[in-house]
Amino acid sequence: MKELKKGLKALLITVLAYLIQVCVMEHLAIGGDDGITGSVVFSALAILTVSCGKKYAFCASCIIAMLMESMLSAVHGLYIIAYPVITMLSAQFFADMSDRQRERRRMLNDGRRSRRGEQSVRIRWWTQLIHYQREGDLPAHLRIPLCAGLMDMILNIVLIAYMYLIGIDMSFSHFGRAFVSILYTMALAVLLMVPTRYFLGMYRRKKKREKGGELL
Amino acid sequence: MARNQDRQFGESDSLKNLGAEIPEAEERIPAWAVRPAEENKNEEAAPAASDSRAPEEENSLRRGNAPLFGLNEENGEREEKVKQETADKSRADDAWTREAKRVESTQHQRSGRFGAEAGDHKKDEKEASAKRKNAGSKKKSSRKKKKKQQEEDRRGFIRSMMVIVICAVLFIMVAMMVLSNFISHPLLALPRKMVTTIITPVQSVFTTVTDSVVNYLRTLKIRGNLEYEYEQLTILLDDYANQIAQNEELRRINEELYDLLDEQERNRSMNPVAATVIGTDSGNYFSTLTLDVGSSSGVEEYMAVVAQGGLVGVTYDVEENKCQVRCIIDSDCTVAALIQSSRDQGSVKGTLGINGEPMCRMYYLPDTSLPRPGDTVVTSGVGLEFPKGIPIGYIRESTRGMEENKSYVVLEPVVDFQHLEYVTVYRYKPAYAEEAQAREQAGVLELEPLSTPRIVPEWQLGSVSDFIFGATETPAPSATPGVQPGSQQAMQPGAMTQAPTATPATQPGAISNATLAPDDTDLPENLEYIPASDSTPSPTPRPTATPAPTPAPTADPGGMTVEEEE
Repeated sequence: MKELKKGLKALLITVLAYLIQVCVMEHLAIGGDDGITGSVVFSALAILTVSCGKKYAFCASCIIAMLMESMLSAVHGLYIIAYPVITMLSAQFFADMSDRQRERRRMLNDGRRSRRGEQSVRIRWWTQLIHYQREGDLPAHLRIPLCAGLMDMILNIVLIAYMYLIGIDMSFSHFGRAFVSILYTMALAVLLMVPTRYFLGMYRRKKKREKGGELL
Repeated sequence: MARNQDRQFGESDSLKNLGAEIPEAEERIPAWAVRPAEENKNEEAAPAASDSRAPEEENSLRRGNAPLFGLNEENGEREEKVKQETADKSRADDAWTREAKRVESTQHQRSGRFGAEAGDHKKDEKEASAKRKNAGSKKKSSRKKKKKQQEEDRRGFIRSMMVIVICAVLFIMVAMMVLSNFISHPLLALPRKMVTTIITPVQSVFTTVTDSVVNYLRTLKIRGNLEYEYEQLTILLDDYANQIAQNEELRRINEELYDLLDEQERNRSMNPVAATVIGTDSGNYFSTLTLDVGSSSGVEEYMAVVAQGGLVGVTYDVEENKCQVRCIIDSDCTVAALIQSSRDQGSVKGTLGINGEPMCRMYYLPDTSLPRPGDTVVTSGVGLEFPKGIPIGYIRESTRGMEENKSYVVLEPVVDFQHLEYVTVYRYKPAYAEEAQAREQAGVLELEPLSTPRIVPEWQLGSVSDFIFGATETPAPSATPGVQPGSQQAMQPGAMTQAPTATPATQPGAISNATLAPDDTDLPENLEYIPASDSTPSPTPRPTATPAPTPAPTADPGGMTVEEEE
């Protein structure tokens, strides 16, 4: 029942993100009506990826892809492929690590430390970001905007490549717009992650954990 | 080593012997604390099963001590087994011995206290029952945990299966949609149709709601800007109002100056000069103005000052850069005038000092004169060096016919004395006055007759027939003012008496170019003032319509009686 509830919440978030992207974001464009808009869809997908895991992210990305392909397909077959692929690619970097993977990394790092003869390796935060063998996950509130930015960046790269391939001359404005779009998406993710995660029940779970109760 | 083993074995053996020797002690040990017989049997059967086991090892196993590892290094597996078994046995023996000692000590304690406290038995029973209950509950909880674990495993399996199914369904739908781009099949288009069917009404509703909210927010934004826009527009409106006022003022000044210029252009022969009123003394008895022109501009005393197409007053107290003007409404100002229609002459005097009204009165009219209200009174040019024909005012009321004692008529001045800003000073001087002045300056005392202003006909009367027949060739008299001396018109009898009365002063459109002589030297002396066609300002109150001027009798040769010379 709880899983069903969680699934319904995730579905609601997904559909709502699509509707907001389609109906509202045109009014919130930077620089007027023809300005640059962020991607609420990617923000929602990033939140679901970090909060619920890869399976939920895949399902949500499939739903979004089908909606976008059915309702707003400027290029046939682009969104239906791009959204799930981009989501799963980003989930590889920013989704929660599995216990097995975490244990494997811990053992590897322990062995490495013992070989080096170090008792404790001091790892800075910026090395944590790029450390491919880090033992734990980054904070969720840091992963969500990064995940959203990565998703939007990949899609922008794909679109710019498509534009270049169909014969449009690239200029700095294209990349500037893409950069602003990525920043906008990250800002949207920052704004939306707290209420969305609260809606998903992430903070209630944390409270129960602090009180010593059972997990949901 | 062997000695040590013997010692150990001996210790355990002595303990057994000790127990046999003291049967009471064996009785004190409870039945559950005594080592079970089966265990002893197993222990006894163990050496029989293992024939190859050394007696030292068996002893050590029996004693529960640590085995002697490394004695038989050849057989590793056996050694490992033995090691495991000995470890288990030793752990069990240790536990058994510890429990036995604990029970023994407690029984000793109880026996010591038995005589003193007999109620301790109940407590022991309670403890034992509680222990039994705990053991039962532990068994139950372990069963529950097992069941729960099984349930969770089952749920997890179902959950994972559901997720896999959902993912698979979605993947299939995505794949169908991808394939529908390449293969046109109705089955492949099914997901797209389904999504479209479901999401279109939802999206339309959401779009409607969003648009209404956006419109509302835009309205709020516009309303929020209204105050700012109102302030800006108010400032702009004040600016425009200021500009309009300035423009209105400029327009008014422009009109005044244009009228002034037009007046000066029309009366250039009177040598006009524009002046600005820089001071006004409009008391209850006197009305004087101060102008910014003086003798340096050629202004002298007793010159006519005109504005708005009417006479303002007379200059006096002329200095280099300023002069005073005594207005015609001043009681001390008297100007010779005539009624334009009837040509009745008189003198106009102000009434400010008489009754405080800014009016004029015209005195010394003939007794038979009955002026009508609205008649225009102009300057007659008699007396002062005034040009002739400058409008002074309009007859407001005339009660001379009804009141015998009343010898004047009341005039309403043409000029609005309250709003005078620019005026024109006519530096006009008749020729005879200039000649007289020249003689005075030259010191000539000879009495010479002044050149008469009347035009003397140069022709001499010939025969009557010549006059009559010659008169037929004379062109018809026109209403054109300004008679050129020496012309045929000037020789008309009517022209000898007066200037044409059909003065265009009251007919603005009747101004001809002939009146505007380009050169002052060629001007005749009896020029009349020609006001501007539209010189009368609009705000100035106009009296009733002036009756059409009565045309002066023109010389008609047919009606003339000429005395023939005898």
